[in-house]
Amino acid sequence: MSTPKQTDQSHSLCWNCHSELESPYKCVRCVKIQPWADDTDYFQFLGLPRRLQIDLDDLEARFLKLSRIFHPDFFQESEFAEQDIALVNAARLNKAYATLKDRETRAGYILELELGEKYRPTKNVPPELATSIFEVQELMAELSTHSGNAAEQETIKALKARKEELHKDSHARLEELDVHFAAYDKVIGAATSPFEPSVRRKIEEILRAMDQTLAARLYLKRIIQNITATLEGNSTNGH
Amino acid sequence: MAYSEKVIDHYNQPRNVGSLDKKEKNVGTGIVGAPECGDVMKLQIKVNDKTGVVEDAKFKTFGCGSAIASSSLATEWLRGKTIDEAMEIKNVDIVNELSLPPVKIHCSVLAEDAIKAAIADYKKKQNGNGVDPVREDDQE
Repeated sequence: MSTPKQTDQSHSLCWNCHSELESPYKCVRCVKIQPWADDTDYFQFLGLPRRLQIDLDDLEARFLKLSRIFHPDFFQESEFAEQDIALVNAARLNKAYATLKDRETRAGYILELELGEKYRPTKNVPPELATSIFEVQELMAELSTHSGNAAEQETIKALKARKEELHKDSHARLEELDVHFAAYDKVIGAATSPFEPSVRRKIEEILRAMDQTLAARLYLKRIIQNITATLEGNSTNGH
Repeated sequence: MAYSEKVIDHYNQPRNVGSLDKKEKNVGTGIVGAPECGDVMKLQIKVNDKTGVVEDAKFKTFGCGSAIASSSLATEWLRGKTIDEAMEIKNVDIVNELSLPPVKIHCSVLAEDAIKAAIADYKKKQNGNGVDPVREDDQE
């Protein structure tokens, strides 16, 4: 496992014995665990390059290995400072693993990481998605006005069909993320410097597309939940 | 959070709810959505071919009170305006008129987007299937 980059001099010395650190996780001399430096992101802490196509088995192995180093149970008898480090690192490690494991949260994390403070999720969705959601909302509104007649059955049937379609669309957008991930990795992999303006432009274009995909996914997830709740509410009312 | 009196008024008595025939050549339709709150808004305008004035405006919104009030107010303002004047309607005007709190500003943005989308759709229809000049100018 490669080690995270140490940029800040103060982090490369052990907090306890002040000797030079060979590993960012633990001091070989006094065997104290080391705090998670603020400028170390999830990728770095897990010893991963900043790439979006991740081998999940490898990710899990890294997570488990680090979990064994920082698990708070091992530090119950330790001094307070070390207990504290274990607690903070273990919690952050769990968050890091959960974030990187899932494609959507991984995409959200890279957007925050790359765009920093200025990142705000887009509030726009493609017109065809808004139209389709509008139609579904109309169907649901219709359902609340009908009761127990043939028209109601028709509407329920139509809603179920729409839900199926939206599910497919939602799934397709998740696969769209894989395409963005591959594009991102390709640009980063081919670049001599990730800060070069032409590289940044390409990266930002990919990030924008990723942001759009996440917004559509969020919207779809909400409307699907909404349809499910409406259909359930309708079937319980009927009994 | 308390709604302002004007929001409550529009919410209880929304103006111009309904639909126009979207197939008609002088009707422009804009449907916009907001992923974070799940709202969706449809706004339509009917434009007099000769005068270029918005003769009728209708909306239908699935969303919170502020979203409904914003689109209701938008249709009121649109009626009697020329297309160019309609393009001038800004979300801040809606915010001010309805005293929307900061967390509801996105509702007014949605209404402005819906107006722009409806106008763009109308212009597109007028130009046949050619490029849409409004949208191009509009790009950020």
